[in-house]
Amino acid sequence: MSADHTPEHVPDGADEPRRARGFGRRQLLRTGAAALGGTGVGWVAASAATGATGPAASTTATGATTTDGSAAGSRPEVGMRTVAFHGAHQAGVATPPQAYLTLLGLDLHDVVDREALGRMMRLLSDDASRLSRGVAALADNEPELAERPASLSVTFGFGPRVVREHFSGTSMTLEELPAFSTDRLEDAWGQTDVAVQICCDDPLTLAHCRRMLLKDSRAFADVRWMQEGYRRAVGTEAEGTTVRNVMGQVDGTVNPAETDDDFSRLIWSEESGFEGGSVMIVRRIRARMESWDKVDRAGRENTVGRRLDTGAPLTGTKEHDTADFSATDELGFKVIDPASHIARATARTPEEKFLRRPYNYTVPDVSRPSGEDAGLVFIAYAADPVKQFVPVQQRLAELDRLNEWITTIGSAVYAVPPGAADGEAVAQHLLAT
Amino acid sequence: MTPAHHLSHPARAGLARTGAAGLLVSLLVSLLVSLLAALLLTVGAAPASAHASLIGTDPEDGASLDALPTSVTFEFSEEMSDPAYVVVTAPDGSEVADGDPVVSDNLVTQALLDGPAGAYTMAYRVVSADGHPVSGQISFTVAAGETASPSASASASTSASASASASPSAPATSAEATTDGATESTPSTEDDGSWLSRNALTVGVPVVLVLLAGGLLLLSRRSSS
Repeated sequence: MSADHTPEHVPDGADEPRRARGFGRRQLLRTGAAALGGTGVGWVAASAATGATGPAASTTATGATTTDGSAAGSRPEVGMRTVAFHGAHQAGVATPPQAYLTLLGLDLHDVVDREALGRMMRLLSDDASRLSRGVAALADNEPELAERPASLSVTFGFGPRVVREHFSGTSMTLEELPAFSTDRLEDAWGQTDVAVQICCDDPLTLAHCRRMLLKDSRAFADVRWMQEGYRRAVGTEAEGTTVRNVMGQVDGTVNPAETDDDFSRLIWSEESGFEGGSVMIVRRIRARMESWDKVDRAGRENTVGRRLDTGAPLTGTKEHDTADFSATDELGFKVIDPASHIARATARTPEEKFLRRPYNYTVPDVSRPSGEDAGLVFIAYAADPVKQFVPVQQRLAELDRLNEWITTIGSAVYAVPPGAADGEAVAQHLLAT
Repeated sequence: MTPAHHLSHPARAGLARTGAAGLLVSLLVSLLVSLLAALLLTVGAAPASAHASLIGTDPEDGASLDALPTSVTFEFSEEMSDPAYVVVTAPDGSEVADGDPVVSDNLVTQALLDGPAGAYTMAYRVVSADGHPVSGQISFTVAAGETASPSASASASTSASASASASPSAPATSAEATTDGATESTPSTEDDGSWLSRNALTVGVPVVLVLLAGGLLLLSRRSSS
């Protein structure tokens, strides 16, 4: 510190010239003032840092334990990974979530009938099939951008109007989601005729695929909305790690796994003519980060019912420990607040389960103090949302501590037809004329 | 040379030479040293942020009542979010809360069933508007009066006198005493006391240090003339 300079100006003797002593003391006073000012600032900084120590330390620990040791920059295999477009089910449902999402909401032009919709689906299915294999689409002006499929998947869904007016040969029906009391829906994010979920581990490949699909759908449909989302970049965490949302919570711990006995029953439809299909639920959930910033860790953990560091329920120590909603503390109160998010969201019947496949979103919004609009593109799949999803969402709308900080601003539901066989298009049989 | 030497030497010289101003400098310097020592001792402790705290209850902690009131009330320093949780335990260990507590702004009121004479505890777990959970408990005693027998036939007169003494309009008659009592008897309370007392160091120390720095600068200007 600069206090070390003082000896040069303050000779150790009382009979030194007055001027020198005066200068020395002045130096000391200035130095002391600087030190004090610095200490004052440092104190505040130290206070802030103390609060940040916990999360920073745990982040480091997490990163260290999940690094798999492979050298960065030597992993072109990520770019070459493929997800099969054709099969019994569409890709992008049971597929482990890729890093990036674009969800397109399309409205069909009035003149588009079943036959025209079938033509659009043949074009788009062909694009998706080729691009998923790393092959350029027909009339692709940027074929090089198709060479790294990076686990690209494209999933098509159809809104209630299309199911009603254009589907044939199936017992499948689809109703719009009911209104939930806590929803503050904006038309800009509402129900559309068609949804195209594009997921990829590489944002450039994704952008190219999106461009090709929009180019080929342009003659049939307009884009109402485009919802972009992200999870962790590949290689950041061990694959299979439960994602965190922008609010910092481990989000999606209790999620059906393909290995579960009831996975098929819960996710894949058994309606005639629709076997192997599913229903996509889309909810755009805005987080009020400005006020969430004021909630400390104890408040955040109580709100959700899980620990922030491990994601363990407040009654457990590990992420996948089963929450004990009856456990009480020494005063006799439930350890997990009965109004917490997990206490309210937990399935109360074997039917109340669905596959969550959410993505975080952050878009610039300078009209907000935070400079951004952030939240979750909540995407879930269920064979029957009325039985599986609606009761849970109704319970959350009635009571969930998290409602103080989140608001659903978009809501839509789509029938996701079964996968297309080789050489066929998605929904080909449903749209047969 | 030690830093203490640097500090003490010019202070001594100043005192000898300029009297009052020097004395002031010397005082400021010793204040600074003790403040720095305090700062070093406490810098490791995480500062608590502003949270709701219990500022009063009806009945008060430690109160002796003639009869069990028909309801009990907790008053907090800020608005509470719904739901809140209250457990009122009778001397025989039974739970006498009647239904769920009612949250109204910063008041949480719990209706009670009848209960016997003896020592009661009333525990609360609430969540403030900023999501922070706060819990704790207080205790009070119900004296054995003329209707000492806690039989069903006595309950009518018990509840009659209870409503007379409940005074629901004055839930926080002795806020400080109650808060202290709650703090002592509450192992799980997350935060208690006022915001300022909990943040005195975080806020106070930088303010004092900056003021001191200003004072020193001013003095340095004067002595340089």
